[in-house]
Amino acid sequence: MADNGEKLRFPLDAQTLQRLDTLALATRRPMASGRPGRRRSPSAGSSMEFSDFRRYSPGDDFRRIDWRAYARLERLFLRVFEAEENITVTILVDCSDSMYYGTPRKAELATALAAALAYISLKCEDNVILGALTDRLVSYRRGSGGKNAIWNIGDFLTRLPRSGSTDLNRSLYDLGRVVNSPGLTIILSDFLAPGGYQTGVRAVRQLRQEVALLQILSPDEINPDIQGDWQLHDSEGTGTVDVSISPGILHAYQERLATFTQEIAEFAHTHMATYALIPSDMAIIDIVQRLLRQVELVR
Amino acid sequence: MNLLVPTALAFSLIIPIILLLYFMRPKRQQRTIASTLLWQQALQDMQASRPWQRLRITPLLILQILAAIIIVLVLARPAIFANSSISGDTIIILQASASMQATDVAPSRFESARADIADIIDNLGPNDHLSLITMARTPQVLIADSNDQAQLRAALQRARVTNQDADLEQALSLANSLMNGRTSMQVLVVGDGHVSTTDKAMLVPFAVRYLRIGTDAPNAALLTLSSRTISNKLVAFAQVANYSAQQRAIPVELYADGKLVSVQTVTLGPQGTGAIQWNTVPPNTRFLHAQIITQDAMTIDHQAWTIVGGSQQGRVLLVTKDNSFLRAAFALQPNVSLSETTPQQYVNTGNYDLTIFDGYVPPTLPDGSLFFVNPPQGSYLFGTSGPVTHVSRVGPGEDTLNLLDSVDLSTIHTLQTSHPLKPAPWEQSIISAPETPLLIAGENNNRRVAVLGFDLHDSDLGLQPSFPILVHNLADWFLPQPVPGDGQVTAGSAVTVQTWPGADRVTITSPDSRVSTVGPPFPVQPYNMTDQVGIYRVTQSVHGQLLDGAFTVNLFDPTQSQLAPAKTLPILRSSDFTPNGNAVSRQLREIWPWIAALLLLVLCAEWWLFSRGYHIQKAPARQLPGREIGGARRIQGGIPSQKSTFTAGIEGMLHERYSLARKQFLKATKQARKRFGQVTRRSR
Repeated sequence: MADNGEKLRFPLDAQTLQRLDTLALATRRPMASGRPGRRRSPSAGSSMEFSDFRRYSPGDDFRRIDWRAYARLERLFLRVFEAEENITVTILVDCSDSMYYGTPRKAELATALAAALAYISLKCEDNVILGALTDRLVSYRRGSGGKNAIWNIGDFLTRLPRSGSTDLNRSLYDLGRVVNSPGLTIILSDFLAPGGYQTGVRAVRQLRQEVALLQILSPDEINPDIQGDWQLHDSEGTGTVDVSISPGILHAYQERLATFTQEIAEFAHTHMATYALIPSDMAIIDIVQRLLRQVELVR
Repeated sequence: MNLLVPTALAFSLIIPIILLLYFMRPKRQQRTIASTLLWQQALQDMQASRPWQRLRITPLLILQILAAIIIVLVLARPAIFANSSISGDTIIILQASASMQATDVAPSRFESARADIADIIDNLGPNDHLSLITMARTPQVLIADSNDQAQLRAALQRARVTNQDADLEQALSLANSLMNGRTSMQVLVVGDGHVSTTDKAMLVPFAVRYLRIGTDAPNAALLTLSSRTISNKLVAFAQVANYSAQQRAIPVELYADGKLVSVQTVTLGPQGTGAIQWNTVPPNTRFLHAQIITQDAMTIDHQAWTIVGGSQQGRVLLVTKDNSFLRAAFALQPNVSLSETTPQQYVNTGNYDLTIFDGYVPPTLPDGSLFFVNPPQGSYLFGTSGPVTHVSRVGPGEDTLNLLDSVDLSTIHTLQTSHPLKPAPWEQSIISAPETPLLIAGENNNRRVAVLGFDLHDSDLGLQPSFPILVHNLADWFLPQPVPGDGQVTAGSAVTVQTWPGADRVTITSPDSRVSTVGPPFPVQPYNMTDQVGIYRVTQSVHGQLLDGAFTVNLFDPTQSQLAPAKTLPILRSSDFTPNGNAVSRQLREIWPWIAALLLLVLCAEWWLFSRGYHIQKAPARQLPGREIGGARRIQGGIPSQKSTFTAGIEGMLHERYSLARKQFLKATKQARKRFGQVTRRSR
């Protein structure tokens, strides 16, 4: 069990966790992982939920034959029940330098949100994989076995690496080494990657993952509050931009940002993914209980 | 338009420098942000590695170039030819004499002259200097050598018209001293040319121009007013002049002490003068006031005042056995109220201003002035009188008191004996013989004392025509009038009133009841507020008694009353001045102050634009435009909605209009080009 020091290092406090207790992560369709759990599975199983009848074929379990139906119809029918399985929820946190800018820092919200989502998943007896992304999948940690695994997760989250540039395509491609069953993959990033994110997300989809893209932007990225002549340096060292702020330029930036977020939304729509834009100054409980509910990632 | 400094146009190099500054990229502040991805995409068209950027025509640039052009223009000192009535350093002499009050030029000649000078001040060039002098009895410098139009106008407002005559010679000599040797200065006299020194043409070392004011307006004037007692009847005389080209009937009213005596009308031919006589003036009248009751351009000469007899009378006691010479001579004096007694009946009552002792001296002398005639042998206040001795020849002594004015002593033939007089040190010998002084006079201890050493009956002096004159002089010396003569004072002249011995307070009340105290201290100060015409009352307090005297101020100046303006000034080098004529020099007048004012406006506009732009940048930027995509589970979570401010709204509207207009312009240009291309192709 985790000691006191590790407890303190979990990104969320007990009160927040208590409010998260009633929530569960939602997937668009059932997934078959083969591991028993609490989620409805697409395959038939041995739960108490009646699902269907089917004709008997040799080799079937006699115990599931509906003898009453046989008495009426003189045909053998098998009663089929729904299966309940768990899934693997993969939460990927962008740890590149760009996440450590903005007020408040986007990384802080990303960490807290990852902790909240991991907690919700573990509570629902799902398996959790937490991964840190920069220009590759830097590290990851598995967690399973209910709420008790949160200390493990918390430990990982507090020791997230912080370095390097963003290469979402490559780091998401790396996920294939880790994930081997269908599940839900949640990507927490600002998606401000020069190389784009599309290839990586498609690769994740290939792993039979449902994808949720949670874009975290700081308020000064959504609504820049600068005046005068500036030379803007990229935090990841990809170059500088000279800007003379004028209403026209601010307008152009807003237009560009709108186009960018719209592109992500359209991409998400095309790939059956969930998308939400989260300002980094939003309260964690608001995000989970209101925003993610609206996009039906949480129920 | 001419440029005084065309080389200053070289400063127009500043315009390319301004453009260069706009081409150059500004020095930027450094800032690290999360990602420049969006900025790069947004600012693709602004990114260039060159230090130059595409020139954007902004209002600020236009204003700055405009300001630069204006500054260069100002430096080049543009000037235009302006019609100027005067140029260089000028002394303007504004006539402020009585005739300038005439209203033949509305509102008056003086105001009209003042308006003309104000015009000259308004058109004053930047290098012109003006001095203003008013010309009346004494010229007065209002302002010297000033280029400040406000100061000049204020000085001009200080000028006041007077009831005085105008002394051109003094004014020109003052102007000459103001010139201080600068012969390039010119003198401009503004007025009607009625100056007091018209008899001889003056030669001055500078050019004098004359701006004539006024018209040949008809005027009637009183030239004299006097009174006389003829066979115990008081008769008043007035002389009236008709300064007009037509024959006129001029009615004149006469008031005796404020009561109308009668109105007499005199009919005078053109430029004629005539006299009026009133025979029914009540006796004991003190002041006479005549008034012409016609409407003329000038009214100040329609009034005249005079004092009947002496303005103040002294009580004189003649103590004599029977001296008819003295009695007759003193009784004739207008300022004497004579009483007579004999030495036997004489009692010292102390109520007399002058006591005359003839052949008798009382043991105690009364207060007041004393005149001893033929004092018996003895020692007195004035010295000693010895026994009668022989006198050989009569002649004048030291007459500093002017008692022998118009007195001819050479006709005295019979004077053989006299008491030899030994005068006190404060007395002077007025008439003397080689043996002894015959008439001594002096002032001591606030009393005037005169002694005649012989009996009038022993000489033929009492029979001479000089005797009444001598008595008159003595009476005037003993009991002086405030103003000698007939009490007439010219307006504007300083009056030093003569006080009686023992006067301890003298005040003068002007016609508008302003009281001025001229003494103490004694001798009295000159009184110079005599500009108003009318009666000035002089009140003296002598030994506790108030003594009323008076003097009058009348115009009585034919030069001022004749309104037709003088054709020329009595100066040899005088020329006429025409404000807008051809003789006026065309003068280069710089116009840079107006251009500088325009520059200020441009700079204000630039500042306003700059501050306006600054506020728009500070205002919240407009909201991220939301574009909903159907089906996508996308939400713009929590982008804070910000209310666009009023200015931002206006800015947006202007921007839309601007882009619309720009599109239309581009379209029109494209079409024009296309058409032009078609035309050229066809022509080929």
